[in-house]
Amino acid sequence: MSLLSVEHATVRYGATTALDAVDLALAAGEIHAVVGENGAGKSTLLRVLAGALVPDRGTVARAPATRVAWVAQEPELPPDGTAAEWIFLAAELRGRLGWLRTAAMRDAAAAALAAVGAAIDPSARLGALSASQRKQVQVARAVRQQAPVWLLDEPTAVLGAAEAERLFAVARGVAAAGGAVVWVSHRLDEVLALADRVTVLRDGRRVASGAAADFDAASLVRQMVGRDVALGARRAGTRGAPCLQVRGLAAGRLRDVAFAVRAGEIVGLAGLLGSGRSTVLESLAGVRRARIQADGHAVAVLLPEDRMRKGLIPTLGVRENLHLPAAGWRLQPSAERRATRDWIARLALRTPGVDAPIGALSGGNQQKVLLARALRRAPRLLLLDEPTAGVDVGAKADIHAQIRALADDGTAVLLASSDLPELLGLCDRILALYGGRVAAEFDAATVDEHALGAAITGQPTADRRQLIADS
Amino acid sequence: MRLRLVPGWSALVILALEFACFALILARPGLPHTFANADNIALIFKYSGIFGISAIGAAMIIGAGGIDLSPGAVIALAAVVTGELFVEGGWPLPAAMAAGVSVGALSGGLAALLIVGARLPPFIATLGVMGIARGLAFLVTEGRFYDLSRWLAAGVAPLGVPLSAWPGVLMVGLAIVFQLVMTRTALGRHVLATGGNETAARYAGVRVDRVKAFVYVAGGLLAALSGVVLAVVQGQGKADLASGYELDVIAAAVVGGASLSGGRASVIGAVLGALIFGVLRNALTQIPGGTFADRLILGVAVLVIVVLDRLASGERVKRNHG
Repeated sequence: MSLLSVEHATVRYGATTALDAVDLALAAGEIHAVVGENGAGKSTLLRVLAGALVPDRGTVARAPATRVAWVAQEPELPPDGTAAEWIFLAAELRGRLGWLRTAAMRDAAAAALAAVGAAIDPSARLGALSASQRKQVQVARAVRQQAPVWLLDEPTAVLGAAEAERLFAVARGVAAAGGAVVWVSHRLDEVLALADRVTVLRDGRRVASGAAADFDAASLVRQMVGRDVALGARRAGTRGAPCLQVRGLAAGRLRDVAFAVRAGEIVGLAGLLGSGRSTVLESLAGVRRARIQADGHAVAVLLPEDRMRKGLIPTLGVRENLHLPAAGWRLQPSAERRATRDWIARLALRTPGVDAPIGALSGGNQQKVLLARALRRAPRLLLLDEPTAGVDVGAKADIHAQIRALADDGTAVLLASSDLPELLGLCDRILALYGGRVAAEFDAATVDEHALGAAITGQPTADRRQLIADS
Repeated sequence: MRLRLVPGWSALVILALEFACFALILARPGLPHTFANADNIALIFKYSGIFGISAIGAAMIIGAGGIDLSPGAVIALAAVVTGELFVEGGWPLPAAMAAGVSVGALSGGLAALLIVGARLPPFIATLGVMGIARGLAFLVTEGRFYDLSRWLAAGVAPLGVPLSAWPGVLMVGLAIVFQLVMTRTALGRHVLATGGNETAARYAGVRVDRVKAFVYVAGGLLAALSGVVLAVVQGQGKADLASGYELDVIAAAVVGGASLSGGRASVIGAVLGALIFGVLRNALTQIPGGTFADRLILGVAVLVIVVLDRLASGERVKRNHG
């Protein structure tokens, strides 16, 4: 008997069919992964399972008294609330007279945060937390709810390797206790390692479903995109004159960061959560206060992390989001429309129209709009912060291809990512941030994931395999 | 479902329906119409102009994600400065008017300084500016009342336009200018981008501090212009003028399609909103007992119009994601 199931669920948004007669049954004790490209219907399916969206057709069945904890992909947490308040929102502990039991909630919140391995003060303002810490607060809320069924939407997209490992353990615990977890992710290696069963969605339809052991990465990708995709071919490095020369950068926890990037070179920034990867990029782009001694950063264009908070203007359309800041004095709508159509073709961007609301696009396509916004300014130095976080394999390959093509044309690229394989597959050189400075520098052709993992955790030599592999 | 092809478009429909309704209600068979006639329509434009000019500024400020509580007080201060300089100081009228308008640059500049420089929330910053402007107005007048109409030659028509037509002419002219600024210039897009997501706009390279300074200074100037027009055209200048206008001005902008959460606003819509209220006020004076009910009816009208507009534009609950 399943804890939660949907049969023939169909959801339409106007002319678009987001879900097309999808079946899914969640058995007790299983971790059920749902994979698919952006726009395949994964988040919509999760909303239906959570009861937040009533399908136009089909049924949702829930075992009696089964509570469901839903960790949405990009929720807007109130920036001035605290972690403890969010964890207990709408389920506050009250005393006999109805007064809030603040201290008890703070202690319980601290316990829930500890259970997900988060070093977060329960009294911390949510707005002061990083994207990954906010995600950990969401998961702590689910822990606190003690619901048997968990719905996790891209839970690891913003997490570092160690935090992700911790979350795997939490999910396994839920399943082992007789609950069930729906795990939506773009990281196929994680899906294959963690899930008992896998359901693949493509264009709103269920195209495959079965035991995880029956799939491998290649077969999953084939099902997701309906064709074969080459993942991460390495690039023959070409290097030109120095484009960016940072002699000393101090901001936040960073003390004395120094490095150089040449024209045509892709340099990676690796580091754990809070190591200052984003701080380096944001300081160079001038959106954050910093003491910098450097040449060449005046020409930098930044593609920021956290596209909902730092990237998109939700009230503007695709064309307007792409053309920001608008050039010149008078707007040129017809030229903008032409240019937008060109970018749509160049980046294989899927959108209902040139002027469609940005919210009508899937996450990967929103990211392509932001990439186009950065590329439109033809930067000589491009700063990319987690350019493929929460992006499906197809869009990821498209974005990687664009980055390579740019570097081949002589653009200097500085790329921060928590995805070590991405850094290894894309970069010429990789800088490891640790302790507020560049702790090590690697030639990406000769370094492996384990050596890199050791460097970003402050180990002088390689052999911290357990951190990345299984912890 | 997209009724709101242009933001504020539904305000035009409401204005037309409202006018038609009152024209029917107030029609007296066999007698000339006291509502739907050219003189009365000119009167509606004359009185709506004061709100309408300020509402243009309010629409831009709200569109940028801000709020301005100072227009009523700035209107009063600009009016009494003009009155004081012209009546008591013996300044030529154009010079006194220019001085009155420049009051708005100062009040808007102060608001911008507090919001951009000191990072105060707009509500608090403009609450302070409101108090300062109103207080200065009382200090300037010391309780006096300026009657400018006595000093203005009857039948003056600057640039060939009768004095009483100026509020309407300025309102329409400025609405067109600022509508073009908001929809056809980079500045206008940056205003709405700042209101839509200030952090993202800053990361994209929009100079949000300049954008905010622009809307508050422009809003101050437009409010002060309203005050000068009020002083000259209606011949009034006293310190408690235009009390509570700031909320009427905000209501006009919201009825005209501005979203208080920022990122959406229409200048034309705000002016139509001011006209909707102008028609209502005017019609109520012709209905026995109507003037006493006018605040009540205006309050209800704001709510009804905004709710209807939401329904008509089909605010989407579902979002296509994932």
